[in-house]
Amino acid sequence: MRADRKTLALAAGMLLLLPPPDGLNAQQREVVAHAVSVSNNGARVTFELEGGREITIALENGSVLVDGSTVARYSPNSEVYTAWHATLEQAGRLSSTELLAAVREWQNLASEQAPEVEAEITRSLDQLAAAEELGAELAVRAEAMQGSLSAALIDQAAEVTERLQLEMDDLVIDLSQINSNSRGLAIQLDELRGQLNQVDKLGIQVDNARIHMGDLTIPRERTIDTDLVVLAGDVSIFGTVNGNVIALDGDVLLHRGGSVQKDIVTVNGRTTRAGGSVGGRVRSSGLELRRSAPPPSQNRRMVSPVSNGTSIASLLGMFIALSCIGFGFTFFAPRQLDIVADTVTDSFGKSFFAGLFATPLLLPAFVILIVGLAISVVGLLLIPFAIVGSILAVIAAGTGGYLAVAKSVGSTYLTRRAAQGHAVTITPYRSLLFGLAGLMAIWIPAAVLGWIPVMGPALALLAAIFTWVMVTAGFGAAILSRAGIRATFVNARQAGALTDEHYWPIDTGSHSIPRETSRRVD
Amino acid sequence: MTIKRALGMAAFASLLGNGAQAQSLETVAASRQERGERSLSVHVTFGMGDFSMTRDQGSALYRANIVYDSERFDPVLEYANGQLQLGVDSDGDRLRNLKAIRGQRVDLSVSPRVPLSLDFEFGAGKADLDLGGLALERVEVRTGASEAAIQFSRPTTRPCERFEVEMGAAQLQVEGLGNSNCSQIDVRGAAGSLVLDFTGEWQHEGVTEANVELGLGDLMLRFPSNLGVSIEIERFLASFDADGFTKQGDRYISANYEQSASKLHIDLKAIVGDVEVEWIPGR
Repeated sequence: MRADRKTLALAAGMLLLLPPPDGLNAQQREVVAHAVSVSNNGARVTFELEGGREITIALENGSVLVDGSTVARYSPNSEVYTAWHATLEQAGRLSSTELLAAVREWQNLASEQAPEVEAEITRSLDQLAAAEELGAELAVRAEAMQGSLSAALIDQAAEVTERLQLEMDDLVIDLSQINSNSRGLAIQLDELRGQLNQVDKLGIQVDNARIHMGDLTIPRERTIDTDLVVLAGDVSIFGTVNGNVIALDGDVLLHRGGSVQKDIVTVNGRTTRAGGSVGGRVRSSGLELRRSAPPPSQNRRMVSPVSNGTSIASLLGMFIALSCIGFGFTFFAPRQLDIVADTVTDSFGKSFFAGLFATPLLLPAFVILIVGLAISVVGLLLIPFAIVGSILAVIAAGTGGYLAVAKSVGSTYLTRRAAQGHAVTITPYRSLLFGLAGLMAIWIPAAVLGWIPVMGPALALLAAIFTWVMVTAGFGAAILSRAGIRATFVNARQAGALTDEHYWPIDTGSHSIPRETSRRVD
Repeated sequence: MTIKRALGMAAFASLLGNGAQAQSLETVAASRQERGERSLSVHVTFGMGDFSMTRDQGSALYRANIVYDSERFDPVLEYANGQLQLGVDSDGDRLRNLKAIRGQRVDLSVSPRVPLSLDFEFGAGKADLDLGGLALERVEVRTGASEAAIQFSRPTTRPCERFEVEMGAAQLQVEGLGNSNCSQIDVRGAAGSLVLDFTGEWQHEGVTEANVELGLGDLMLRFPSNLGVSIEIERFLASFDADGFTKQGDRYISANYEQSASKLHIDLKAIVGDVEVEWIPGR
């Protein structure tokens, strides 16, 4: 508990640096934003003050961290930690000022829990105030050194220019950014040297570029015809960049309508695509301290539902086309279609494996046929017909086999419905339509949900595998039955006896089970 | 260290600490005070969970709260230069186990005073948006297999250039489009149930153009009785309830079309399903 008290005193002291919520102390800076993260391991808050300064206080994994440095330990079971957790959990509903007030209430609780807290706070404040004074002094020195630092920056930029083969005429450096960044400028320049080395390693060829330091926005109507290098800042692109975009220690945000004709490269940053187009590749390098989200347009971009509608329309069109072909088979070759369908029904495994093993033999058989025809003069003349005929035969076997499977499925379904007492009209055409609808229904989830990452392709793959199995079985059945001529693989018990087509001869039109016998009994 | 980096580090640390848990819900939240921003562009990408949005009652530019499954998702909550991005994100590897995700949600409120551009992508889940009273300039919503309700509970405060919705297999209800003040309304859906309610205070005088496309499903159109409506429809296997309309050439025109100060022209395409019309008196 003693450790907790010291810890909380430090944290509370840190909080006292923040302005009061009601603006009582006008000379102190205002809190403009906050960010909170609450997990099972702890909770942290970052307050952003006017002018950009941030203070982060975290109680995580038993440690109290102030601006990333561990200052003490706490017990996860303590009341003060529980209160801290609860305070930050409600942050989503609060404005920054309200959250600050809530945190101050927590601070009061922390003070009550620890008698010596006041002294600790005072001590912490003294230390922090000293640190602030030191920071202010450094800032003043940095201001004084601005001239020399500017010169240093230009020297470094010249080095960058030489290294990247830039043309000096196109060098644009926003020196106005130096004032705000002067304290860390020297460090940044060192970092930039290292980062530029990484760009070299990436093999980027920069022939002609504009360089900008700090945040940059390319408006919608603007076009940059050269490469663009942005140092220590984020670049938002609404317009067009006809070259590469290279961001060093910053992010690239490509908006809808924005365009980059070549590559986007980030070093210690990332690229986010909220629309827009990239002509080349999107690459990144450097140490990423944060977990970067993949660009939404690259990995998570949803396909327009209109394309889903197109898929459904395509599916509908395919269904109609296959139905028409199926009607043709049913009308012109009903007996053959029945035998193939019965072969599939009674010998599905054999049919599938026959189709599976026959498929790779198609090409050799085709070659043998052509060679056989080529050795005779008459045969030579038949080669064009053989080529066309062979292709048509394979297509007919595959399509007819698939339709036979569909008919088998439909017939089975309708027969079972009839057996359950429903008033069902069973005709070969109806069986074919029902079966075809059943077989093709597996494509509907893939067509409708195809935009969902992972699941969409998985559904399409599942449907493709299922369809391939059905086509292969149908193709095999067509082979086993010699295109519906031989009923060798049809169960003798059923052949000519039990299928719906044989039960109701097809040349007599449609039939239905009498209502008296087909009424459902509930 | 910026706030977004702090958040990212926190999320990374929390992920390291909780990777072994089945479903570990964690929270990130952020708020920013309004400080004379000229515009706010909000981009939301939210694959699974519930989303809600409304106007902020206080002085915040935005307030956002994300409850996410840290085992499979990372929070995205970043603001820079008037651009706010939020939602959850995950790589494919962590989504292999597609078991139910419960409790994941995003709540957002934004300032009604700052000109606003919205770009939403929703996957599976529920979305409940009340855009009434906001300074909307542009809205784009892409929603997948979700249940979405978009409401304009009160008139918006700026002319809106475009309201665009694309939906996959979803149930979508848009209420009070008359309050949206948008001059162009586009709604496209692949399959599902779609309700478009055009009631509200029509501020946009002249003809508001709307394109509505629905592949498979039912469409309900609700119009206020004082709005002049013309519909040009292309349909394949879809029925159309032409109650309150007279057909003139290719168009269905409401009786009050010429007299109405505010007019709506709908270019409607429907493939399979029912298109029904309901007239709401006095609105």
